[in-house]
Amino acid sequence: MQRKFILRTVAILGILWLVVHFALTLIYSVRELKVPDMVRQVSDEYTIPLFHQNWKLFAPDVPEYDVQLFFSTSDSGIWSEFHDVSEFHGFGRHSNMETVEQSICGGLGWQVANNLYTTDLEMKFDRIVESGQYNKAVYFVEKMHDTGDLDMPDSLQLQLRFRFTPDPHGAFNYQYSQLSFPKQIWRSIP
Amino acid sequence: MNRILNWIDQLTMDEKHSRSLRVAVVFVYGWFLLNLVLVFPNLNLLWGNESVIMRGSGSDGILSNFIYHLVYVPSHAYFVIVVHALAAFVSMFAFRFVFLFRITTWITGLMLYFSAYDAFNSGFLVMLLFSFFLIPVVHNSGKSMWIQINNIVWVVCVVQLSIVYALSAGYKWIGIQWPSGNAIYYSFAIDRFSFPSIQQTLSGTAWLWKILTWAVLIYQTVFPIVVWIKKWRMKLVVTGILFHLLIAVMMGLWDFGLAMIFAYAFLLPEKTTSQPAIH
Repeated sequence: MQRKFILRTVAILGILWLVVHFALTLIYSVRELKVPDMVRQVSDEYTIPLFHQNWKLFAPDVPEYDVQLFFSTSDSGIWSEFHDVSEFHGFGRHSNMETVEQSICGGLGWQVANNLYTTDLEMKFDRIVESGQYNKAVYFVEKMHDTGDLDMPDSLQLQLRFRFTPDPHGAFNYQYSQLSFPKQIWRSIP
Repeated sequence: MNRILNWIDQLTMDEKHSRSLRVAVVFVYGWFLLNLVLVFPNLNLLWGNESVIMRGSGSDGILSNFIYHLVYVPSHAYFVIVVHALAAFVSMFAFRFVFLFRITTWITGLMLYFSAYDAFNSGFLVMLLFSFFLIPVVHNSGKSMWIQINNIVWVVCVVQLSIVYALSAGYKWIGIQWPSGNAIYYSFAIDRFSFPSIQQTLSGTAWLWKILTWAVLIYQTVFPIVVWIKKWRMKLVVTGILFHLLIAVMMGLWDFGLAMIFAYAFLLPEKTTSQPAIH
C-alpha cells in the first residue's frame, strides 16, 4: 500500500511538472500569445537556455527573395570584384557556412528595413554600421578571409544582393537588386 | 480523480513502448554523433578560437554562464566536442549509470548549439529536447517505478513531437503563402533550400508546388490528433518518413530531416520495432 502511494506521488509530481513545463515552453514559443508580463518573464527565464525552441519552420511566410552576402576588398586602392562570401571560400549552398551567411543576411536585412534612412536624398548607414548585425557580418567576412590564408587587404566593402522570386502565376522573370554598404578599413581581428 | 489515479496505476503495470524507446534512445543520441560527422570538415570555423561566428553574450547567472561557456572561452571547444561525442556514444547503451552520460550529452549539446547557433536549425533543438526527456529511461529493469517512468517519457516525447507539428501548422495557417499553396514554390526559389535542377523546373509547374504545399499543411495539421490513434499511427510514420526524406533530399536539409525521421522511432509499433544492436 505504501509502495503504491509512493509510486502515485512520484507520478503525480512528475506529471504536474510536465504540465508546467509544456505550459511555460508553449508561452515562450508562441510570442503572439497575450499573457501578463510576469508570466512571460517566468516563461523566458525557465526556457532559456535549457529548453530554447522555435517551431515556425518556414512559417508564417517564406521570403519572396533570395539574398546573398557579397564582399569586395581593396589593396592599395585597387578594389576587387564582389564575391559571395561562402561561395568564394569553397562552401556550397547547403553547407553550415551558408547557413551562417543566411543568418547574417537576415540580421542585415532587418537593419536595412529599420535603420536605413535618407537625409538630403543621401542614404545614411551610420545606424546600421553601429549595429551588432553589421559587425557580425564584417567579422564573418574577415575571419573567413583569415582562415583562407589570403593576403591581408587594407579595406573592405559589404554588399547585399537580392533576387526577387517572380509570382508563380505571372511571367517568370527574376528581378535583381543590390545594396552596397560604406567602404571601411580592414580591421585586424585578434 | 479516480480515473486519473487508475491511469497512473496502469502506467506501473505494463511497459507499452519498451522497444520503441530503445530504438529512440539509439537514434536520438546517435544523431548527435552523426551531426558531428556532418560538420567535421568545418569544426574549426564553427567552434574554437578560429570560429567565424562573432561571439555575443547571454543573460547572466551561474546556469547561463555555464551553458554559454564556449561563447566566452572558445578555446575549450575541442574538449567539449570530445566529451559530447563520447557521452553521446555511451548514452546509446543501457546500463545503470547511463543517465549521467545522457545528462552530459544534453548539456554539452546545449553548449555547442549556443556557441554556434547561427549554423544550426531546429533539428538540433528537437534532438536536444528529446535527449533531455530520455535521460531517465531504464531498459528491462522490471521495477514498477521504472516501468512508470518509461511510459511517462514515451507520452512526453509524443506530446513534444505533436507540439512541434501543431505550432508549425498553426503559424503556417496564419500566413498567406501556405493557405494559398505557394509556400513550397517560394522556398525552392531560395538557393539555400533548393538545387539548380529544381529551380529550373519552377516555371510553369505551379500546380505541383500547390499540391505539395497543401499536402504538407494538411499533414502537419492532422499529425497532433492522428498520432494518438493507434491504428493510424503506422500510416503516419510511413507518410512522415517520406515527407522528411523529401525535405532532406530536395532541400539539402539532412540534419533537420534526419532529426525528424529519427524522432518517428517513438511511434514504431512494438511488434515490428526490431531489437537495436546496442544493449
